[in-house]
Amino acid sequence: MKLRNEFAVEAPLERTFQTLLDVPRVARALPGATIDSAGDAGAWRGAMKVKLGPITAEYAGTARVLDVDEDEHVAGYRLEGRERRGQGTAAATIRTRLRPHGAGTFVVVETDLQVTGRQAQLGRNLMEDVAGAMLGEFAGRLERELRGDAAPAGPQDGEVLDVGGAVRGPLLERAGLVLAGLALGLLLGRVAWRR
Amino acid sequence: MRISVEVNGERHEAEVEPRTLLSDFLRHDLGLTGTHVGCEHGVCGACTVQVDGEPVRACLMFAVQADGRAVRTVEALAVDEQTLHPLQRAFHAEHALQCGFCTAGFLMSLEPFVRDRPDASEEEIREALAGNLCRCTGYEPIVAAVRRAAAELQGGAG
Amino acid sequence: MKPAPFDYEAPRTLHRALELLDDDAKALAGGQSLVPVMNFRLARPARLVDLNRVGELAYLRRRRGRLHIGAMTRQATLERSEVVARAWPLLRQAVGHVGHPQIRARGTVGGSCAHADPTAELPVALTALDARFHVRSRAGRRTLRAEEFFVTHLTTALAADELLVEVEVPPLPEGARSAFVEHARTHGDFALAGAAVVVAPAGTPSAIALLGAAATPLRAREAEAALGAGAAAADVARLAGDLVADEYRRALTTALVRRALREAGAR
Repeated sequence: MKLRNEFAVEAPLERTFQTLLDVPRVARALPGATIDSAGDAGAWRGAMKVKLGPITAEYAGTARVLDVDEDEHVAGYRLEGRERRGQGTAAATIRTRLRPHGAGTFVVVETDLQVTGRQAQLGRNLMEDVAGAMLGEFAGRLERELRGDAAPAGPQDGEVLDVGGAVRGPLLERAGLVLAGLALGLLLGRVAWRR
Repeated sequence: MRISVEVNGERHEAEVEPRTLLSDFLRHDLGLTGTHVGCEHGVCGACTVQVDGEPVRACLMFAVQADGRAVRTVEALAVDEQTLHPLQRAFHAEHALQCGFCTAGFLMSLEPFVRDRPDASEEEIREALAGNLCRCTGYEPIVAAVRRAAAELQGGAG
Repeated sequence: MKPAPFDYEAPRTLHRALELLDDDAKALAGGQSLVPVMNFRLARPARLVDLNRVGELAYLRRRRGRLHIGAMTRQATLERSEVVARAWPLLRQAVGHVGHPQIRARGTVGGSCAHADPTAELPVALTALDARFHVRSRAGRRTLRAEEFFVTHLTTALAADELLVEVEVPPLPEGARSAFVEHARTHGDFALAGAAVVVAPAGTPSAIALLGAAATPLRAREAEAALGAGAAAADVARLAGDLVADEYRRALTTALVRRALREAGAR
């Protein structure tokens, strides 16, 4: 399925772009995500813990930057993962496109997501709404990361992406985060969407 | 050399010569004989496994290169003896295997393919199969099995 | 068959990798060409320098209109890249013909170039695109054109202590169209003949690079000039085919060049 999300950060374009190319830094800004180690050349191995109500799921896999267009400020990523306990899998090709937005940066994220597995199926609409709601968390953390705040913006051991908590949270207005959308997609095991 | 490899979700520590092929390590050191060895030069596809999610020729990788990586073999496909993977069920239903020698390689190549390209055309399926050789079936039932598995995975039965 | 014994190093930096290269060592990239010959014991390097953990060699980026391909970029990455699909479609077409998906998952751009098989697709496409090959050693660095880099069968200008680190590709001329065609007996088999063509609008140079016509990728200069002068595709193709000695391959090459030219919009 194809997801599209967007958000703005109050940080200059170049610095935002460079930060988004740094996979470990991006993972630090995403609750529930951890980077375990470098994979083979250019790839990172990591995990994602997600929680929705009583359901928890953990995915392990790899993430890599596919390609970078420095002229257009576009980057492509490839993520793939598999449930630690279970048969669900997920793969995503993600494209981020940046443009200046006042003194800050506007980020559009396009995700092409394929998922298999037998998790509970919730509607695409719900997935999109929650993906939208998650952006606040990521964008806020990313902004702090970009400002170089001392407080660790990233996950501590045992932290999970608490989807329910985020939906209930005050940051519902900001546009969706594709990585959260991916996490939700992984959790829900939504099979590939007929386009 | 000491290596630590995650295979089908389990971590294995072993001492291997650098020249030990991944295919031989899986079969002889770990006893996972589902992965078969055909040509040992990357053409037949019988040895295909997944390393960090990508289908690769196990005969063209050294075990030492898998240190710190996650390898997945055909043994991981079925949830348990009673519950086969949709691809396995489809192969069974469509008679897509006879001697079965090539089958593991096909399954490991096709698992990411049916996930990423559930709407693939017949031509695209045949192109995706080109990296695995079968001497028994003539490929028709394999193509049918791919279609069947893709439809089942899309339908959400998982 | 199994390979002969060898020492194995897996450096994490380019600097360390360069330190390890000498006359007895061989660099290991994707392994899709090297490991088969080692399995057959046709090659017996005393030491293998595995580049698969040198993260700084894996990148694919467009900067100021030029494409910078780190040598350890996987062929599958080239295939999936939107940057490449948009601005260098010839590369995407060529890489789709490389082996099979399982080969492309491990095989690298740098490895394919350093292996220098004259029937390999990427060297031919990169030759048509006037790519530059950046080489490093402990002693320094140099940059080679395709004609300088590819020397003969399975031989490049790389010295034993040198590594190809990047392939750099200039932008295509505005309005240029390209096509890659090849013919192999079976899918994924080594191609018998092929061509990478870039048909550029009048006034800018076109390119025709031939696969399997010689011991290296071969630019058909006379055919390119004829194309630029407005000759018909059939005549241009015949000029290109004339470069091939063997009768069958000449006919095959001529037909493939004509097909590629048509696909790229030449009449």
